[in-house]
Amino acid sequence: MEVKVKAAEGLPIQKVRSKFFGSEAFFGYLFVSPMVIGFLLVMFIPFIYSVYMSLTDWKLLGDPNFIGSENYQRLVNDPDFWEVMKNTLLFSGGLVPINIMIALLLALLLQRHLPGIGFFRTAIFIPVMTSIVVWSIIWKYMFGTDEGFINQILDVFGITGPAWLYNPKLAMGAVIVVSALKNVGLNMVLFLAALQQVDKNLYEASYLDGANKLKQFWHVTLPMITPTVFLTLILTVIGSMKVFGQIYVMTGGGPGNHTKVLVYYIWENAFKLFDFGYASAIAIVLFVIILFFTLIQWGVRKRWVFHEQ
Amino acid sequence: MIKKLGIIFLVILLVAVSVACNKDANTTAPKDKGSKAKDEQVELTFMMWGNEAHQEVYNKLIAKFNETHPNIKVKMESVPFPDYQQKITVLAAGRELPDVGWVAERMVPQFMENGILDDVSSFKDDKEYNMDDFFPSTLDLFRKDNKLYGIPFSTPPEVLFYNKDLFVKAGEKTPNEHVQAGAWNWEQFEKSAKAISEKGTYGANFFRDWNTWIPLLSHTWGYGGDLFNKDQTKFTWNSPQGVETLKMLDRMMFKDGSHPKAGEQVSFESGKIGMFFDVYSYVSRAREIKDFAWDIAPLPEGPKGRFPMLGQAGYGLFKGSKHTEEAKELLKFFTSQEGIQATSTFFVPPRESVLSSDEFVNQPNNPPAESIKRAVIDEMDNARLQAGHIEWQKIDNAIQFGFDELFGQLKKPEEILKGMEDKIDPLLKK
Repeated sequence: MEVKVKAAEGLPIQKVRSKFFGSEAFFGYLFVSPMVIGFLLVMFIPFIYSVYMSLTDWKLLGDPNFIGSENYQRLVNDPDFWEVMKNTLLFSGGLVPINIMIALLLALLLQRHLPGIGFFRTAIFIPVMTSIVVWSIIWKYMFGTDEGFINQILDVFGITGPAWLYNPKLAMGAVIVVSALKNVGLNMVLFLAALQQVDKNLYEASYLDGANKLKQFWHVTLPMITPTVFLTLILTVIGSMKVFGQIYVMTGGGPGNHTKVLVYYIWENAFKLFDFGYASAIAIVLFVIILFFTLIQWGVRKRWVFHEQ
Repeated sequence: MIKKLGIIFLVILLVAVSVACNKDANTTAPKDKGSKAKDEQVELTFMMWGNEAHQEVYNKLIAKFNETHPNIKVKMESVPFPDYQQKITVLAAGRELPDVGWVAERMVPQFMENGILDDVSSFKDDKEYNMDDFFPSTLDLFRKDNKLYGIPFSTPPEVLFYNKDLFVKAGEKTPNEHVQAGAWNWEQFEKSAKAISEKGTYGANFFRDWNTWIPLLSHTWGYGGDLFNKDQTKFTWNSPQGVETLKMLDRMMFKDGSHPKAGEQVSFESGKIGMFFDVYSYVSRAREIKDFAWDIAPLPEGPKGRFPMLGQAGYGLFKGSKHTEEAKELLKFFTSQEGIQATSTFFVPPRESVLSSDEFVNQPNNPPAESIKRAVIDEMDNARLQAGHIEWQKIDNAIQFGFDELFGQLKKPEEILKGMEDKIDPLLKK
């Protein structure tokens, strides 16, 4: 290939153009084409189509009618939608800090080379590989009202446990905890990798300067792993916006609407009520929200990420 | 320049790919036709939500069908019930509907409204088929404007499955004994439920997965109330009768402890439930119970009578089938006396000749014949069909919302029913 390209350089421009099909650019495009075609077919075209769907009243059966922005107007006036928005933010607001903090804490605990440490690392990572449906069903049983594992334990101490998943004050909390435990292992592994890359000399130097453990963590460890903190933050926030499986299995959005989140609401409108137009409109809103968060995070990362290349 | 060329190249590639795909479709289609012309080989898809035992019965039935129709291959597909309506709707949108499939009572309004079911009223012209054998009331659901959009195969009334051992252990009279004494009413039901409950076992359960509230309507009906008015334009459950129904559930859950609390995962098969409400078709699961003795009984009665809910499932012929005639043949066979007889292993048959036959009653591990007669056959006339509504899913959501409030003890039954009314009345007016 090299040879061909070099030979082409010596020829007049018209000939170069005609030889596009042998050129480096041609092969470049050829190499990216599976990815680009895949992206166009399964991401971009469906995305554009769902924007169109959000402007129709498509009920899945029958033909879609163009109704302009009616779905979006309906959305603004839909009290359920606003409650669902609130629930989604509540879920993210609960999950993200819990997840990141526990992951970091676990990573700090498990970064030492102690005998048998591999067992604990594996144990915490296993839920990540478990299917979310299996995980949620098991927890649904554990949260059982009378015979559930958790309430049985409470019973030993003479406490009558609540109906975890049917109490509007507790259901969201239960789902958040279950989700955090499911995915905390992934963030922990990312943090472990980051912690092991921190230069040991920095700890020695700060020790000589009289920094205690807490100060070392605050002024050495944390600044050095901010790129990872940033990465996990983006992943966790976006992941939390897209939560569905846990909610579907454990609460079905209930009690009432108390755990109904955006993706569940999209699913419900599309596949339970068959209102594809409206569901698409909500999906577009979710897209804009995630885009917004991503832009904010990318915008501020330069200011608080210590050493990104 | 190269950039532009690249884009052009990509477009060409895309077009080429899509053309290639189309070409494939074009070349395979005539091939099919060619083979059809030769030996008339046809493949039909039959969709259902049955379990393996159901499928086994159908495999035998289809083999029988192939004796007379060797050219028709039937492919059976099972989709879990909770996803069934969704699946059919999605397939309809993609114009890939099965040829024949099961439909349940509350899916029918949506399917009919959207015209995805085909007319099968021509069946009644076939003397041998003997349409008059069907109980006329079982066909009502599928009838619209003098056309028939399906044929029922299962019309099970709601019955009470009860754990005999728990009654014996508590020294209580069983529901069937109460029935014989003429005293099986809702007050007695509540008392019995309380009497057989103890820690870890519950007297009764109305719910499966905490969203099947519909058996509770039998209580309201027994006291003269109803869910909607006659022409389905008003939600009427917010009535003294409805309040009493919710209060009974509330008492059983929170005062007597005779009904599991929401979130509890406990099934009748586990032996921890005394009385369980379900349609007779559940018998296919109950037959596998080995750990305790069980039986079926009619539902308790109220001052106005005994009104079990009538479940209903039928076959639909879906529109857009490439082989309508063959699909009709299959449907006719499934709903012939022979077909209904075969499926009556599990389902309460809508044909009079089959319902009164001994084969329906004498299945291995069935409850005693007299119980079946008392709880199923004799109750057919009392049974009521809770018709669906085109907005059923939204109505169901609103009612479910109310029950969640009851489960969480957030509101009083009166307030809960008022909340349901406020949400459901606008849906009915549409």
